[in-house]
Amino acid sequence: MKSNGLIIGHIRDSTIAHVRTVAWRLGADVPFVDVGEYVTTGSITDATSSNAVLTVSGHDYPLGGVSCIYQRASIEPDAPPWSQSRLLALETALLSSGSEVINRPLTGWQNMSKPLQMLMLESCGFVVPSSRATSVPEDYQDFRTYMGDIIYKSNSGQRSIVDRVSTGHDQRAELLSHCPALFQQRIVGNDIRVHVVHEEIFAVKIQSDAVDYRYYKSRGSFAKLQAEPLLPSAIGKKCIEFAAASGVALAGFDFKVDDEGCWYCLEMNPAPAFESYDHVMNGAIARRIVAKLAGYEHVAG
Amino acid sequence: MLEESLDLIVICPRYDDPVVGELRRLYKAPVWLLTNLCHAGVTVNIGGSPGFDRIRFEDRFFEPERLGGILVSGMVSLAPAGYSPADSRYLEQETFAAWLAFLRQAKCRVVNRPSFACLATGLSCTQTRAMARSVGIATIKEEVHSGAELLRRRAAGDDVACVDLFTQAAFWLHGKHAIDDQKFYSVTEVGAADDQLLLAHVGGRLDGCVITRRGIDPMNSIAAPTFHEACSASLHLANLLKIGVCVFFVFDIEPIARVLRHVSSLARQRERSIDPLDCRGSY
Repeated sequence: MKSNGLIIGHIRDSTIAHVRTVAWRLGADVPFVDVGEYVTTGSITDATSSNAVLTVSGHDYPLGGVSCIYQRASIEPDAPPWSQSRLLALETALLSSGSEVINRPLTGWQNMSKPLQMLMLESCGFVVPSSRATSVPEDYQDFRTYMGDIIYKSNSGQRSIVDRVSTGHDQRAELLSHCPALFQQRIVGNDIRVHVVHEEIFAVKIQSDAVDYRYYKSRGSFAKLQAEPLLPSAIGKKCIEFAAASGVALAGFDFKVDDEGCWYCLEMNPAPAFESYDHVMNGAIARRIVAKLAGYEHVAG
Repeated sequence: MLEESLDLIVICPRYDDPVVGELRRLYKAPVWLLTNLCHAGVTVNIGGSPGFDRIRFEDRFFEPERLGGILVSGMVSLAPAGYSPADSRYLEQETFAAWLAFLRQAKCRVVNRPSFACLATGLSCTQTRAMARSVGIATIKEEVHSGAELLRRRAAGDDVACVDLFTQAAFWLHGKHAIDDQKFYSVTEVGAADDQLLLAHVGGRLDGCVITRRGIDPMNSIAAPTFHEACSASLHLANLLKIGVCVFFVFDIEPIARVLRHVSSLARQRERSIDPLDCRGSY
């Protein structure tokens, strides 16, 4: 399978590695640009136009006129200024590229604030858990008293371990005045991860005894992932609409489904690391992306 | 003096921003200035959570329903001294994220609510111009070059307008601005002798002036076709970016800061006022 698509990312990124492996298995010849190599030795021409060209290790990679670009070129906050300036140039080129980009930088920006994104999800018809973001200790106490069993997590896009609030936390509530946190009613039930690739839906159910199944090894005993074929059509439709309205072609939605069958939407990740879910989907998500990169509608599994 | 009995809040990183003085001149109501988001407590409710959204600032609580308005000119979240760099960054991001939600939901007039291009993402001026070009708005041409290339051009006596992509600092190549040969810079096609057009977009209207090497020209010759062309493009861009109040000029597009430094004083000379909170039909 010949492709004029392009993959841009960090060579050690496991999601990038997964997509490249699936492409290789399908015989799709998709060029890859290692962001680390671009930053240290590469250059960029016409970065502010729709036809920028990346030059890395003597090879030119046009960003305009290709079937599709899949990119995960994140900027590390600790990177030195010269490195960040080069990544900003790449980000600008991807913003202005005339090609389809999965996903264009900064789309899904609302994910930088979970409470903000929940407001937007709610306005699009999703049910979201009762939540309060606060740095006012008495407002925390008020929410805790009213809701009872609650969890806490970060407000921003920074990854945090989600856990239940305990009486020990109550005693430290005054510390909130230094830094706000997001508190949420605890929903007991299974997690569902829904990936949207354009207008296709891929759902995975996660059963776990940990509050945050991603950390089941240290905070629980198991996490079982399995494909979920019974996604309510209304939920799938809303996911597709919200992702499209956000300009996001690839998205990962997190849901919690309670015992009464209510689907609570927690967030939409615009740069999902989807490989662990894709393993139980037999690579269906990556195949869909590779098909876009190759310029086909679909590829066989 | 405009009638306004409810308190106003200005979120702006500069203590000396002229917008505060202008609002105090225009309105009777108290005008509070918040320069650092970390200086105030904030509560925002989502998903039917009971209680009020509010902020705690200067030992008082402010609820949006009881405010005359919030003017967002720049959002800075700066952790107090004493934290490690990682903790500071976390604290700043958490505070910023909570404020984004608060301002998005606030049930009062908010000028410059958080949006994709306004205040939330830190979109650089180079990226804003790239977006403008992608929808057909003419902007100055620019190209990205390495610092090493700029140093060669400086040595050859070249003079072009440059922007440091990391710091967003704009400078002339012939000056003394330090150039890092490893960094990438944006180089714009603006001649050193060119006048700088400054446009203020306030609530769907534009006012402008030209900053020349000799001083400020209030652009009383407003029939100039280039001015009308620039106005039309700027309004289009402001609507695209969902920015209610902002300033356009050659190197930058920024929400409100500097809006009154030049333009408002000139508007007053023309016996009218620019009200930064007059943002009807805007964002």
